[in-house]
Amino acid sequence: MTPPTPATISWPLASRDIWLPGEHPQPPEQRREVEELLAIEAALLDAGETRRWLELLTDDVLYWVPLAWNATSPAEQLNLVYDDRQLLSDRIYRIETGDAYSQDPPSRVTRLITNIRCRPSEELADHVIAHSVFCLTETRHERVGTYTGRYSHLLRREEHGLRIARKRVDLTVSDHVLPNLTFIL
Amino acid sequence: MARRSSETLSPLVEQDHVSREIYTDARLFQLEMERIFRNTWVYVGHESQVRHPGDYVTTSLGTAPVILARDEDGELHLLYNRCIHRGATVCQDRRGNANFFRCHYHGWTYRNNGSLTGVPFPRGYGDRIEELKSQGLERVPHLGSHRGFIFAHAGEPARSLSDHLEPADSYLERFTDSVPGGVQLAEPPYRYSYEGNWKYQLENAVDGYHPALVHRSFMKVMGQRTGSERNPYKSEEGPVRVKALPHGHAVLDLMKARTMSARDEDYGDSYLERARMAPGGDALIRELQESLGEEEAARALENVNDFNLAIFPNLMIIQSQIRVLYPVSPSRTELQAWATVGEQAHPLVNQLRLRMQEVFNGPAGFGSPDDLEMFDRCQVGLTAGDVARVPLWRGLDREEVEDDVTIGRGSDETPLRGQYKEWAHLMGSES
Repeated sequence: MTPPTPATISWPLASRDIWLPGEHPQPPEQRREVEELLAIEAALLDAGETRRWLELLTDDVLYWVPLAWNATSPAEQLNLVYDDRQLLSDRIYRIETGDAYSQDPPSRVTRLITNIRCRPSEELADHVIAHSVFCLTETRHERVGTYTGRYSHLLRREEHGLRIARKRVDLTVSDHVLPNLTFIL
Repeated sequence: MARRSSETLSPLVEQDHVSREIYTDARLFQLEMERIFRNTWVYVGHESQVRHPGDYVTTSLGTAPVILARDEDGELHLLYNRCIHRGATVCQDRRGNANFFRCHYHGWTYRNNGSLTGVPFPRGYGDRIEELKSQGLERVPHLGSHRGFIFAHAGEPARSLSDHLEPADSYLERFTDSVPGGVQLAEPPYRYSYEGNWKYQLENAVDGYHPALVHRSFMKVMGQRTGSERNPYKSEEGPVRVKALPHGHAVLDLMKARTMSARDEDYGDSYLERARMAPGGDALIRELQESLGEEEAARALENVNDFNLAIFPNLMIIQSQIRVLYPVSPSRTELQAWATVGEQAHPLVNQLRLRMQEVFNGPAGFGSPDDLEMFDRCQVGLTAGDVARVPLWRGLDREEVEDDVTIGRGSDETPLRGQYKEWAHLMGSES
């Protein structure tokens, strides 16, 4: 089993991690694998299958939605979301109790993911960094919200394939006035 | 709504009820902006945001955009963010440091104390250029600071800021002194909104009736984590008290509940447990305990969390958070919520204060969004039917008066009655 991701490694930030063609050669099947994983993740989250989504995450996963634009680290700033696996499980359990009124009725979500760029991690063996952009529509009470932003995933090769060791979500409107964001981005 | 005279309003607030119009009526909202937000002390910022000469933040006073700026001499100014020429805003950023504010439409430039320093092609104004220069950016005339909290008054103050805050001063002091070196706002804040009236948030901050009900899902999460769903709100016989202070200020007081946290299975509520929810929380707390000792570590995390204070009309201290409401319309309100840290507190204490905010607050938290959902639902439901009265008399016959403070049980509406008494006083709608 691959050892856990050290807390000290840097968080991938899409806007500061742009490379030119040929700079990060990788096997073509790796890119297909990344694309498939991101599509499966999107399908599970859009379907509200959040417990099954947890199966895509490593045990030491960290999920981060920064509040500040171009934030570099979650520790010393207020974040929209900063969860480990237990908190993600709590987040899902809270909705499952039926008493989380901000998700009653639940959000209906559809997301598109595109502009996928991936490369091997330079800091960690068996890890891939994948940047993508998303456009997500969410409705509740017949109010429609449209969000765009960037996903940056740190993926680890485990026994059954790539798993998500870190996920950061940079919302284009992260530090603006926001409505209810109690669904998983 | 029937047309009302500009001087007096028929009673919209009585001791035991309010009229639903105070939440829904557009004309009353305009009157609130004039008679409350321009005619009492309104919170506009914190000293830690404008510590150095040149520091500024942009905010709003009622619905008006304003700049809170500290000039080179260290003086604070609250300036309307409006060029005196064509009216364009002169400052575009939410915060920063600048000696000058320039309107980019015709290049008029102001110092950070509001005075006009220059106008391109000035000969067109002839001798009257001096008139403009003496005018400068329009300012809010009264600005004061108390224990780090900066308030403005756009009318004629009936009392000084310190007199206005005096009834709440022991709470402000307790908050300010709760961390070494005093509190500092962590930037950026949460910014979020709901489709409901601003007063729902002011009520909710000191409403001890709703937590056991609206926040049941959070309590279940805590219960699953700790093996006990204890919380101080679970019974109306519990240790929580609410207070209506003079001038519309109000308190939800958890002090007694906190001192019970270690021993009382029914009512205790431990913030150490909330800190433990942070990613890597166990290790962070262990490290803090090794550094400060177990008792001091627990105190550092617990002692800011024992009351909610609502300063009428727009400032709320919710445990370690500073929350400010900004009315937009009768049916829309924006909020900003700052986590606070201690200027000289242990770095891990400050990190854990941020983590504790994230778990409950903000647009993706486990608590606040459920409150906001209720405000949205109130705004939709309240317009239905013929009954205009909204009851406000819960606990009226069991509250006690000590000096000029009225004290009720945790779930009673004592604080709301105090808030609406002040509302009616300012609005000229006393019964």
